Amino acid sequence: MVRALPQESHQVEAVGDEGSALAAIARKAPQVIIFSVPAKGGPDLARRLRGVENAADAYLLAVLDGTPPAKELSSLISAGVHDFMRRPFSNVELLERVKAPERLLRWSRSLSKPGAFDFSGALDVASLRAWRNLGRLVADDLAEMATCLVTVTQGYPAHLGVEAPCATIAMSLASDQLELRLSLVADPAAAAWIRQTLLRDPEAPDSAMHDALRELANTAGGALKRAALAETIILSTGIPRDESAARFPGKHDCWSLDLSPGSGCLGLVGEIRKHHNERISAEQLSEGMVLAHDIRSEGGVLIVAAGSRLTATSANRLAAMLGPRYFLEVAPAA
Amino acid sequence: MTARVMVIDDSMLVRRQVTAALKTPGYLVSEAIDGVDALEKLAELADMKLIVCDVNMPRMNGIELLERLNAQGSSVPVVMLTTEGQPELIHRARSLGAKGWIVKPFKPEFLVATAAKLAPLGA
Repeated sequence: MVRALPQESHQVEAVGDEGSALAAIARKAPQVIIFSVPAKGGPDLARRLRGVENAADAYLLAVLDGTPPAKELSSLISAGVHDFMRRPFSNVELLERVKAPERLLRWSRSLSKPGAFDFSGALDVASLRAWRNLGRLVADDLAEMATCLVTVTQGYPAHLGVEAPCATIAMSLASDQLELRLSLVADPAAAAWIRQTLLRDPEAPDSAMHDALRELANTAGGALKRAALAETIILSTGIPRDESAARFPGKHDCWSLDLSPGSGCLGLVGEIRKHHNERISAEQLSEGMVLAHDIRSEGGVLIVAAGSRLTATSANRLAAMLGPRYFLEVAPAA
Repeated sequence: MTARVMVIDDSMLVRRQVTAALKTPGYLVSEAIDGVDALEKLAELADMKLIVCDVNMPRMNGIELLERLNAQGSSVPVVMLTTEGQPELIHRARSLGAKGWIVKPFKPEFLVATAAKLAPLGA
């Protein structure tokens, strides 16, 4: 195997037992670890290899003898193994398998790689990669937040009633006079899951469950916002609030986020709204408004950047600083 | 030995999660719901060793709170805990003296490690 990997492109160290492997990993922080799966305890060995401090980000390639049962393969994947090879294998196969993480890295970079941007027309939010992938983006963040599996399907969950608890976060694109709203609607099982898993209290009151749902909406907003940033779109985030689920079915971009089996379902609704900015006096500034342009001092020093969402503190400060005769353009409160 | 930490977030869920994560190793955790509430409570608590603070909050956000703490000459280390990832905001927080920026959803062990670095329990 050492001979199969070109020395000019790979630094290879071979060891013959687990103790030497753990020491070498700790010393060298390898990008790829290739290991032979023993007849028993393969997943445990994989965990021990990954458990070394320098191995957390390593790509784990397991070499198998014969065809292990599907259960063992899934256990190896759960233990952090990324790919497998079965003996006998060719040098070419080994080389291609070792190249896989480089390909994955390129693929990952391509997802966030900016392309060409056309600023001449109106912004089409629905065509953004961040918007098209919204269901998956939110599901990934929720899965990380609650350490659970979240499955995504397109469309609004048909069983969600209009009385289902719902939280909404509004995000503003003041320069384009657009507002995006993300809403999460919980079915009864998901509401119970929120109490049990996030609040760790099956008897938690409705107010606590609604607060947690608002934070989930906030998390969803963060996922969209960070993905949009990769496409040079900066969204100003509002404060999540309770909303009525009665408005949603069939009207907007919707996804169904199914929590770990038996844990219920969250409906995710994405709305794109056109709104008109207002021109107001500085003394009319209030919490939640989003500035459509920079505010600078007479000397040109930036005081508050376009896209800033005002709090009561900043609204009062600007009103006092700029005075009633200073007019500025703002997006409505979010 | 213990150390007092303040978590500032308008979400009760986040306050609970941060409190649960930091109580386990032995921190005493105080809570505030926004920057205004935090300033009032910090005035009463002189022994604060660390502040964990959200960015988007009603009344006074996390960046505005950093500005106020700076103006007061506070030396309490502040770590931002937020869904925001905008480089300009991170740069602004850093220039105002924030010691860290953790993006939600967060791993409790990462928060504990950050707390241990900035506010060691044995100190």
